[in-house]
Amino acid sequence: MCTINRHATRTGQISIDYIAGALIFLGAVLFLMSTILNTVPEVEQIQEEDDLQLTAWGLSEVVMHDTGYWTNGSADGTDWHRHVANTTTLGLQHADSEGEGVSMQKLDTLRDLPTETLHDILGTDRSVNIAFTLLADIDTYRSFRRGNPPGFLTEPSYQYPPSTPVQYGSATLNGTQRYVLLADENEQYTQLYTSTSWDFSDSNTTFHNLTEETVITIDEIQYLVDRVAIQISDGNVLLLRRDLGRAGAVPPASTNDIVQIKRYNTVNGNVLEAVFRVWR
Amino acid sequence: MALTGGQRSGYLHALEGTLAALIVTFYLTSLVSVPSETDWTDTRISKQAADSMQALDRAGILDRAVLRQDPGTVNAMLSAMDRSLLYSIRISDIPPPQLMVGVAANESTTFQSDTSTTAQPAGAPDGYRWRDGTIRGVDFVLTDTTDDKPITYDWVNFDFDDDDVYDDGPYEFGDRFVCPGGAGGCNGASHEVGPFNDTLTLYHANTTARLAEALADTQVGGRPVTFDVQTFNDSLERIVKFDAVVAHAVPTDQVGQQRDRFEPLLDQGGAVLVTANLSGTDAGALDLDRLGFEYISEYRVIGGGDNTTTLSDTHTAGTAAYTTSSYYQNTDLRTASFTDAGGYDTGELVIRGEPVTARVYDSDTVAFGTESFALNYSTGDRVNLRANTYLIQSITPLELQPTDTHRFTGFNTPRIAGDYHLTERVHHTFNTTLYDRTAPHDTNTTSRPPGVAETPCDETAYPYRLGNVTIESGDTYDFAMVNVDYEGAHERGECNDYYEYVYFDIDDDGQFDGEEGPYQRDEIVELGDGNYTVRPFLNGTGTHLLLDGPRTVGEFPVSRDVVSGSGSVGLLGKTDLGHDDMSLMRAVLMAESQHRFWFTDPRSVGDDAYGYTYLSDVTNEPLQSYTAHTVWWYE
Repeated sequence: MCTINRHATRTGQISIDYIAGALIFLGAVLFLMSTILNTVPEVEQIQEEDDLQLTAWGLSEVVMHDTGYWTNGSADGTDWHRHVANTTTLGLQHADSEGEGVSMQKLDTLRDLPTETLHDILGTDRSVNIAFTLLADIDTYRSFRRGNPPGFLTEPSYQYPPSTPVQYGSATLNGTQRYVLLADENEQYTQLYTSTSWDFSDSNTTFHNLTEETVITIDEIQYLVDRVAIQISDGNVLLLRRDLGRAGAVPPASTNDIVQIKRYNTVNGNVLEAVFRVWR
Repeated sequence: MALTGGQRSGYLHALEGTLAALIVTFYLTSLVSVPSETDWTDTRISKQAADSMQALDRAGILDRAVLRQDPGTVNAMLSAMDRSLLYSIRISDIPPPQLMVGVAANESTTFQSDTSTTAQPAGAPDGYRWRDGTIRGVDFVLTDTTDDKPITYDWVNFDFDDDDVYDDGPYEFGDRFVCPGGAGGCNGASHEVGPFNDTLTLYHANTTARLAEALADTQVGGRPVTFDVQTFNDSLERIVKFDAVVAHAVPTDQVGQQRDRFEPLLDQGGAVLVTANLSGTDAGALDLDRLGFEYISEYRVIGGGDNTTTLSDTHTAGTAAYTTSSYYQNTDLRTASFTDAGGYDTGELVIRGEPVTARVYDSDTVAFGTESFALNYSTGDRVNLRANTYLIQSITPLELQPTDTHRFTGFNTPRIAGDYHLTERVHHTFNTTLYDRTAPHDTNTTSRPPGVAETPCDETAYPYRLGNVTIESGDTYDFAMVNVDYEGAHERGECNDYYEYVYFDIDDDGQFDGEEGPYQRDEIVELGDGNYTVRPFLNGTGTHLLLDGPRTVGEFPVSRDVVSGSGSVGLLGKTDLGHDDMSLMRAVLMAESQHRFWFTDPRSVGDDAYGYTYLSDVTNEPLQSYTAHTVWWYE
């Protein structure tokens, strides 16, 4: 038989209920500490994510919709691409007096900026990469059947059967008017003629056989044929993609830590897509 | 083991530990809070979608889609931009290229043939099926040219000259023709072939023919807009196939019924235009607002407005005729050539059907006969001609631009939602100078407001004035307005013009006592079942008391809500339609029919819309400007 006291005795004995209370308290404290320690990285990650999102959004807004600015103390202007050393704001937008959309000259300059310079002017310690793509649409709404073209158009040496439907149109590509014919072959518009005029019979005409992921060259510039949409429900358009290059740092292989936002504007009358990637 | 008195205190130690842990937990938790993650999805796709639409606009793709009414290119481009982005675009402010307008026929303008019998018309080839009959005194024969079953007649031939040969025709459903003189009861009038069955329906179609003629060759911003005008009888045909309908010469007591009559069309966004002869009619009594009508004054000039482009309406010397190019224009503006009159060129404009002589003195000055050439105008001046204001855009050539604007958008089309007690604010205004010093008040001391001296201010005026008010229930209450007694002014016989205190003899005992006053400005007095706000005021005609309170004016079906984007109803208060009126009708029909023009992504529309943006003033001349409302969401 033994007697268990409620308190520690002068001889160093500790009562069981006291131990139980202490263990419950310590357990709770340990659990709490563990939870807090696990929460800290989560908080940091959320803050980092928000910070990256905010950075991506802010940078994209400035780059795509601001004219940019330079100053050397005695003079200033929006043509920063001629004064890179004195540039304080990077923006691709034309000045109001110069037209709509993005300036190709500014875009070329931005693309060629060293990464450190780009980051310095953008005023961010985050890594930034901007990928530019031109989406050129050639309106091929008008049509005729082989052998019955409109008067201004001369047909090419045919590579498609008689009486097949032909869609045609033109667009400004890289500042130059270019003309296209799209010929039907078994209800697939896979035969593309490009030319420098409506005369598709001369040596300036190039034939392209369109397949998946076809890359065509017009005026020594490569375009990826994104789609040929002829049906009414899909539009009557030949859509070409042109890679306009990238600016900034090379993104890491893992996309988990990258925040991405797509922004759009126009350049030379075509749609410009800019993908902003920001990471730590 | 024996647990003695320590058992209960052991539990307490455990409880202490638990409580201590909870306290520490709560404390630390309050110090460390996990921030919620910001949802950037909405922001990101909002910016992307807004960018996309603006880029498509700048690249001219939106314009092409709108011009062709073919969203295909937009679909292709957006799909290439972001394959998971769906969209819907609703185009407003631009009319569709083709409009179907119905002119409503009624019993008096719809004619049904008699019972017909099968017969082969003289000279008709064999092999068809026929049915003959008589309508408006003219013999006809229906022909089934399809040889299908059941018999469906699709042609009608008439024998207008009554020579037993059906050589007038064939006419199909919807065809219009003019009966030759002497042809039975349809003598010389325009008629239109109605729906076929075993009998023939004919519509009197003079109005339809005139409207079709007036609407022909319409262009908006250089684009042809085709009006397909047909007569119809809504008891026989579906009205929802029309974009707009016109009910012409409706009796004034039947105006209100037209809104309900065409409810199905209004529900799907169509427009209804009613004409009625309102001369001698109290338009207010028709209660047009309650019925959802927009009253269209025949004098109203339509010349553009927000988000519209009024193209230059040019009168040029040497040109034979003026062609309106803006459908928001109902001003008939024509001219003959200018001639040299020695010292100036003179020419006659026709504005709203009335001649206006213009004199161009030199390249900088023009004067008009309506002002006896007394005023000279220069470029940039505004001149009022035939009730319309025009901006003089140039002198040589003379160009006048209508400046008054009105847009026929958003006619209210109330949903009738049952009967309501309709109340309105009612004002009772009493000019108390009428009651000044009238007997018996100046001698009846009992009706004198309390505290007011009996001393008159002068021989004719007392420091209070009396009157009475009859409220809605018919009960009449005496009231007194008391002059402000400024520092004993009343005792001194001094009065002023400010009567700020009002008493009401509410219990009709001839005295202003108890709770019957004084009421000051903006206080509320209860008279009968109504509460009225007391507003004494002074103006140039004397001292007045205004009681402002509610009044029930009756039980009416009233609008619970106004449904945006649904159909619209307009009323033109005349039936004698001239050239201007036809132009006006064109403007109304086109403007209101805009609501039915939109296109959207061919894929299904999701419910989880993230937001919307507005692209306004997307103008690419000579296109009419339009507004594209975009909605986007993710699959």
